[in-house]
Amino acid sequence: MGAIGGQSRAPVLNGAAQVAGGVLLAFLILLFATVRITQAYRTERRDRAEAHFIQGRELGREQRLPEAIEQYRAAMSIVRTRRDYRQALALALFRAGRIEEAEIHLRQLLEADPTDGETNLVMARIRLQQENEAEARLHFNRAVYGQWTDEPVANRIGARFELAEVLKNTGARTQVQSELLAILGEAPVDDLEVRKRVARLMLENGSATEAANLYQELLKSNDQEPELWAGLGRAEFVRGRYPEAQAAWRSALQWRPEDAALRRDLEVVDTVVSLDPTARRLWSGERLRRSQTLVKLAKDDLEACLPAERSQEVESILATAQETLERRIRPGERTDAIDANIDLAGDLWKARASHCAPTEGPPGPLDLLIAKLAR
Amino acid sequence: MEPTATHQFFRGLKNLPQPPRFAMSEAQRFLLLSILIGVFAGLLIVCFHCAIDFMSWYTLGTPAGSSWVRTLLSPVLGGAASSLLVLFVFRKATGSGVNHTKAAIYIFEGYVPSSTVAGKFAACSVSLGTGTPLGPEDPALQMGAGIASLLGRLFRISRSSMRMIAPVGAAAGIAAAFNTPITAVLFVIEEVVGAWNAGVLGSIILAAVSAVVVSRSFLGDQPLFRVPLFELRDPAELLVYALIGVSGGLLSVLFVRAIEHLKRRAERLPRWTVYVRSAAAGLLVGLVGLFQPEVMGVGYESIDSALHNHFPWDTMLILAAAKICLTAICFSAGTPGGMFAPSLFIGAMAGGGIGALAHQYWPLATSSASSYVLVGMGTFFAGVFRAPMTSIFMVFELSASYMIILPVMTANMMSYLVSRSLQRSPFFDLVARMEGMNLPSSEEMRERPRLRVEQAMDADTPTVLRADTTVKRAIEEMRTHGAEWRLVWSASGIWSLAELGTLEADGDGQRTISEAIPLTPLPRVYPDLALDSALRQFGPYPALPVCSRAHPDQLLGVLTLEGIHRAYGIGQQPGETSAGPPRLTD
Repeated sequence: MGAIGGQSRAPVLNGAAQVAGGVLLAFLILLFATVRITQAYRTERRDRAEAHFIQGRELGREQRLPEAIEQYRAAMSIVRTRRDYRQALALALFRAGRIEEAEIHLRQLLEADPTDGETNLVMARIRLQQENEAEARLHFNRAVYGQWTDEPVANRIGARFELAEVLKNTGARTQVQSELLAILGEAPVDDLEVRKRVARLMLENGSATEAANLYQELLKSNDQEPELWAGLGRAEFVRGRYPEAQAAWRSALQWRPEDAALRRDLEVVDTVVSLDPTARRLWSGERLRRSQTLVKLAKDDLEACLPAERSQEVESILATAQETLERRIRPGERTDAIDANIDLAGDLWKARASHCAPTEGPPGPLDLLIAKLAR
Repeated sequence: MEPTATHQFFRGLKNLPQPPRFAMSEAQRFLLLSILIGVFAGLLIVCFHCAIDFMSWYTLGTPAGSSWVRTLLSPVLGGAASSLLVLFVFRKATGSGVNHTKAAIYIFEGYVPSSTVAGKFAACSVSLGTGTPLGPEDPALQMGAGIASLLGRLFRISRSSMRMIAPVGAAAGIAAAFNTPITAVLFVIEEVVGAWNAGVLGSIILAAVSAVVVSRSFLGDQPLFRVPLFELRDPAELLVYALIGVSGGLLSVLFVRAIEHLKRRAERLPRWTVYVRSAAAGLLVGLVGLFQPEVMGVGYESIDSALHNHFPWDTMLILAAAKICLTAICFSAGTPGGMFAPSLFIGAMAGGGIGALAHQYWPLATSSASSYVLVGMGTFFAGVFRAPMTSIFMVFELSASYMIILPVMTANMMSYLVSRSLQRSPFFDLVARMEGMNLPSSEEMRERPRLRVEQAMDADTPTVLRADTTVKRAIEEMRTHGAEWRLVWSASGIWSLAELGTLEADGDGQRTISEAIPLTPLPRVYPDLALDSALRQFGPYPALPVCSRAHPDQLLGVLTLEGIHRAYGIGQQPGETSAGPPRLTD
């Protein structure tokens, strides 16, 4: 019985083995075909996507943003997993002003990698446009401390500059100053452009002394940089140190004689310096002459702006000024006369401020000088 | 000669206990085969996916619509080539994959011709790759069913298993094509099998999972769409979602009726037009594609773009309308392809369009348009296919967001209800009828009312005898009432039955019933039990006790064959009413 059973089972087993063998062979053939097809598929897909991406980048460089966006989209429709494609698309959309769409892509990028510097930077700019400063600052900070694939130091410094600009506009002076100092710490010592920008921002942030110090430090090794001289002049001008500003701007004009704005600024500061009765190394006669000139200019200015009907108070101060200008001063009275003239000029200027309409534009030499003397 | 150490060693090996022979049951073999089906289907669908993309790259170019000549001519040539392939080479690869898989279950005992696999692969790669606005899921489903059928035949599985093998392959095919295993399982259960069948559910799941694993290992595991974060800004926003659901339902009715109308019109056209219908439909696709290239092809990229606010509301509504027209025309013309992807496209665009409008004009806070695109995707699907569970879980699976469940349920159910109230037949039933197949409707199978024991039992219970009653007394009682049998209650809580003839055979009648005859315990049935389940327990007994589930010893009634006949209306005259069917289901 056992032998009969064994004989009858053998063909069944043979049949099952043949089927299993056939299925295994079919599986191997299908697997091999799938592997080859998917290899070819991946290569084709990658090449096509890359071609669109490169074309998009070229178009982006030429500022043909809508076409660049279409190319990036085409690249992404073929390969959706490439982060750089999405980032390029998001940037192009942002540059094209399609903020909402860009934001969606950026959010996805940030979901995948919240530490990406460039994505955070663009997101910060979007938030800034949406007037959401709190979130903008958050993303700027993440950009500053995030990961950058290309030029991390330069990009982090760039992000810090943008953050500093935002902070400056919100009036957070101390924070601006700390960001600028951090930039100075991070930037290479020989990176003149970054340091110039820091000095400018310091000046704009109201830290004229620190700005002047930085300019002076930079000028030690770059004394042929007109921008540095101009910046130093501006810093000294803001500090009310007009002779120093005058010297710096003169140096700047040596290297940039065609700069009309700088020349105008220099003319103003020349006038201030030439009128200043308190300047050093002047003999008393010259000081007196300058104080008298100051009174005369202030008086003329007041008279020019006053209406036909003048108040008693104004008439009185004008009469006093006239008397002062006509009086002969003996050498022994000069010191007191100078002080009296400076005070009188201040009074005339105050009267002008209260009786005349304010003048538009930047302050003139007289404004600057009287303000300085009042200090 | 003394045996050497080597000889002794090998002799020892021979004497070692033999490993046990594995003898697998049919169910276990079926489960293993399901995994194999999933692997084969997964590999095939990966190739299918690549073939469609290759075809699209080389005919339409990238991005699609960049060359007007290609845009215009590709769908014409692709439509013609694919329809000729089906008409002359792969004649069995026509029609809907879902219906052919159902036919395999209900008509052909699991047989799906192997040529269907090759035919669907070739024809659909050409048609979908050249811009026909149909989808790859239905062909993938049929290819999976074909693979499963072939493997089932090769491994000579039993007839009953063979009958259920096609849905296993179908689930694998659709799971690999759509990269969503849960949706695939639910779709096959709802649309193909028609009921929760525990016997096949495990195999369907295994096949779907193995197919997705294979597909992801070759094509990557990124989801079909990059779904943005979903948020429900205000509960009142659910009204907008309900509106999207109603719109989806109305559009689905319009769509199904358009297909019905166009199919009937096409049947009346001269026979020779079958050779040019797909090409003509392709020409229309090309013409529309010149202005809106997004409508061409499967359309998943466009849905993805809509999810990222790429389109304004008017463009989305135009795209939805254009896709409805072109899909209906291509499908009616017989161009190979499925309806899964177009239904998602239309729902997404219609939902996005309405949502974007609401975003602008709705007085309360609303989500971004992309949220409506996502929810809208399922509404048209729910209305067309009338597979509400699949439609809900599909969006849930795609979005992977718990927040979305309320809007999706609201919108999809609205669409489903609107479609049910306005359209008699779901899409696949309609197509089956038009293809001349008499298949059971999945919707009807799901909703078929079931008779319960309570509708057949006699609540006026006859006298119950105790087991310690004397035989003489029992016989008197039965004769008095003219009964042939009586239920007997034992103190041990067992119900049994005493028949008059058996008792009469007992000599003097002074013994108790339990002493006189063997009391066989009767199976108990309960009022809520399905009548067909109760029927299976009947066996040789003339009656069964109907007991309370709360108090199992309490007799509520008796279930007899007469009562069952009455409930089913057997033997009644036409016009008489039976007990059922009730409107409630399980």
